[in-house]
Amino acid sequence: MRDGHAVAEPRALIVPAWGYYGAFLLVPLGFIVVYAFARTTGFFEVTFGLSGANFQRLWDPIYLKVYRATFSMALAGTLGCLAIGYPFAYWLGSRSHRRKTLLLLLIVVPFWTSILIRTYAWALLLAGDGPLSSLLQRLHLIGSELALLNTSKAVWIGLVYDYLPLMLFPLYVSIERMDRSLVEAARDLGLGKWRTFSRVTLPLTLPGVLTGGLLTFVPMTGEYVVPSILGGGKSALFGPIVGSQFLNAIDYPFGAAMALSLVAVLLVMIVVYVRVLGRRAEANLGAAL
Amino acid sequence: MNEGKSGYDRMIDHMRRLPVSRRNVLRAAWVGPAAAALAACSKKVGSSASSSTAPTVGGSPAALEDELNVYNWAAYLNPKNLKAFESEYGIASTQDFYASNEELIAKLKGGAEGYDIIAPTGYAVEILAKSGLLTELDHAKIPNLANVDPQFLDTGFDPGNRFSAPKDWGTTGVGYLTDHVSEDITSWRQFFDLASTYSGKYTVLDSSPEVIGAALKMLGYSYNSLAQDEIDEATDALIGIKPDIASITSSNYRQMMQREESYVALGWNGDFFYVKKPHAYVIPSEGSEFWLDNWCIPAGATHPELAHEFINWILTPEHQATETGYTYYASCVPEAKPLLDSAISGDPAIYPSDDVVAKLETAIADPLFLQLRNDAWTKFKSA
Repeated sequence: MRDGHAVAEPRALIVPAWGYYGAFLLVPLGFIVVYAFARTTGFFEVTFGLSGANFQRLWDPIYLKVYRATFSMALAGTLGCLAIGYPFAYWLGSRSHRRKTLLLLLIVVPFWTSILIRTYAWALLLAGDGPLSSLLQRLHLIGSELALLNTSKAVWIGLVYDYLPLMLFPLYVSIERMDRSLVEAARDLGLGKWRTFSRVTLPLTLPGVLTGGLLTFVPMTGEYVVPSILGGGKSALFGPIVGSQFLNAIDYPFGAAMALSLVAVLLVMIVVYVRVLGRRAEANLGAAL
Repeated sequence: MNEGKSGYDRMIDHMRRLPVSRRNVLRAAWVGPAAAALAACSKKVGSSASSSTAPTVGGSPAALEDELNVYNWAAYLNPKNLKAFESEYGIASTQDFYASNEELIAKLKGGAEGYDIIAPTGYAVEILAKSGLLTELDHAKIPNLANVDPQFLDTGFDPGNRFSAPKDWGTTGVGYLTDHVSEDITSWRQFFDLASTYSGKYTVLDSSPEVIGAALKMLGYSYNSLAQDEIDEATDALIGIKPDIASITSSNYRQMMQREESYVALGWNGDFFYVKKPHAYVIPSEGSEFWLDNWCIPAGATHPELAHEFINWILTPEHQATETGYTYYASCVPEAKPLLDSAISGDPAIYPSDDVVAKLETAIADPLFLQLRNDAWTKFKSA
């Protein structure tokens, strides 16, 4: 018991995790880096080297447009998750312990079904001759068939649905941990509802918002299944476009460069995001306390 | 082929067969006679002694292996034929499926062994042969190759048919529901012009060579154009009708037409026969694409003798007719045609007339071609 710390557990315990990430994350990532600087010279023929041509091609307006479409869709999806997730998590945090467990379980249940099947289910639901369309028509809310499927709106709906739990859980944890007596104190001391929220509740739960935002935004930028199925192949989002470099153009180096560039852009964004918002969160927290 | 499989496996097989169109990605490539380079490349000779066995038409099955493992597109080999081959030769067979030539190539490049028969498209034959992944065919064991129409033999992608025997061929064109579309669509120009009339009821393949090729043909250029300004013009034409396109899909357009969610589709001829609503298929008058699929034996085949026997067996007119009656793709064996139901043999969608065939082009196998198509495709999709 050196220095009064807990016993240092043997290093061997991290070997499985390291081995796994080494073999299945770092090594493949290494391949992507190597390929990104190579050139396609024929069908399935690649010349390795240090070529920057793949990255130059990414500056073409065609591909810059793909970045813009992808990031705005991921941002819209993340905000959608937040708009639905925050009130729900807040409500959930105030339920009794047993209810909470049950409700959390219910959120997880859909995950027992494959994402592919759930996404196809959405395709049936949103179809012009689908149940949602006929219900809305019967209620005279829409005049003609629902024209949602195969649009970017459908992609947005699918993204929000798929990623909502990833937003919900971090939000729930930070709301659950929040000392509600601070909210009561703010109210007692005469702060209005909205100002209590913006000056006490929100700053206290900002870590959850930050984590939830990261967990939803980042994977949304690479989403493949949802835009492919619900977007009718019409939305040029990053995932399907990278996929087509590998499967249609047989241009592994360019596909790898695209993937790598996304990783790089995301890393920069995440660092800035965490620094700026994280600091503000701390500052707000300090002010609130 | 489902014997011994669990219900789950059978369900997966079924699911695979249903929504996935036989041809998903581009298929391409008669490179043109100029590609003689192939003759120079290193060859992978079949593993067995080739001269020892006499042609085995009706010969002794005892000399053959007892198992045939087929790796094929889904719904692309009539189960009746496979059953008949099994019982005639007293063998067992298995069948696995791939959804694109690229998947097949990747799998064989990755060292997959145990497959005896595969069905790649022309350009894929060329790539596989160059990579030493095919067994050279022993023509002495495939006398029925003589049944094949010579125009499908000795192609640019495989001069002398050293590695491949023709399976069937098809075209890319326009299919539409005649109950909903009052016009007779005969040209690509019309296909583009009518988009606004049937806005939201159009689909195109999710495959750049076909769709950009269609626009190129409409504009009077080659299906295989490598000129950037021509490709740009074609892409702009496509972007013009994009708001009218319901879906860009290679696998779902049959179902969408069947459910009358779409009326007009740019697709492959055989696929439209699965649509059970009144419809027409047309090869537009400006010309279009045609492709040829082939039987090949992978280099790692464990039953090459039986595979040769299978190719020879399937190339008889009777078995060819059984195939076309199932896949709705035209046989390369002319004598099969009279054996077909006249509804099939007389259908210009399956057997187009000679003057229509004359206007067809095959896609080329060229990395630059694919890169130009893919850039244009991304531009179209992100428009």
